[in-house]
Amino acid sequence: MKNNEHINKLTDEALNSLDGASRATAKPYLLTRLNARMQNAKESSWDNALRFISKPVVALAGLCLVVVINATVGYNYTEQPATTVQDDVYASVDEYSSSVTVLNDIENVEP
Amino acid sequence: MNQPDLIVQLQQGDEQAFKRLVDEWQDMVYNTAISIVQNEDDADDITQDVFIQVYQSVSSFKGESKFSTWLYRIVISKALDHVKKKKRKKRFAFVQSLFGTASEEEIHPEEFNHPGVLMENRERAAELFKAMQQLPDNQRIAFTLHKLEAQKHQDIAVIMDISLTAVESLIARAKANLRKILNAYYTNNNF
Repeated sequence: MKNNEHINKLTDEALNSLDGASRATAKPYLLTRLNARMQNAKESSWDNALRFISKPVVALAGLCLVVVINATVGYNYTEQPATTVQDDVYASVDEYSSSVTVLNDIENVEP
Repeated sequence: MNQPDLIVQLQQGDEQAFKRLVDEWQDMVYNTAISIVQNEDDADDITQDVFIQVYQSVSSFKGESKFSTWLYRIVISKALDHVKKKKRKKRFAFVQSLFGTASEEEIHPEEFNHPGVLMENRERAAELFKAMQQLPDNQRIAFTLHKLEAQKHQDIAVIMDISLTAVESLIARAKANLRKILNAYYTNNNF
């Protein structure tokens, strides 16, 4: 019985042990450490990007991508201009023939 | 300077405003973190994480709640994440210990003494903190905010986004559970 009372007393003491506790204060120079950490994060993000790019697999994949893009653009470029040039030719022929007609008309104007 | 002005300046990337923010809130952030993770170095890391997150995401703060509420939510979330990570690490360390590769500190961490507790209460407070580790997260947070941050039940309700009745119930259950845990501890250790 006495033991129970003692245990209850200890329990109450523990439950009330935070009464009157003050706030724990942060370690000094927090702002300095924060600034240093943010600076490191900035630098390391560039380092990470460079490290990632310089990986052989990534570099090779990038190179292949560039080649594929070049090939695609080149292929499209060689196909498209043919029609464009043809259109241009027709257009200029039309223009020329009409102008020729006009010129002919001028030249063949009968007195 | 009032708080809305400080927030506006922070959103504009003013470094002086960030300095003022850190000066004003560092102890609140650190105290909440240390009360949850129960380790000074971990609490320091969390405090830094919290301020970095605040700096990066202050633009998303719309001012719908109090700034302190927003800050408390960030600290609590980071501290609980940290506790979960540590628990996982501890389980892994236990497995490692079977092969004799884990360090003693990982398996049996040192007794925690909160720096703000009165000297005459240190021993009992350490036992209370140990018991608090066994509480469910929501009971632990409600009890911690009430006892160590001296927050009113109404404010705890806003921070935890629950009703006032729910907060009262959580704190009552936390106290009942702690009483049970401590009683068992003192009985088993022949005090």
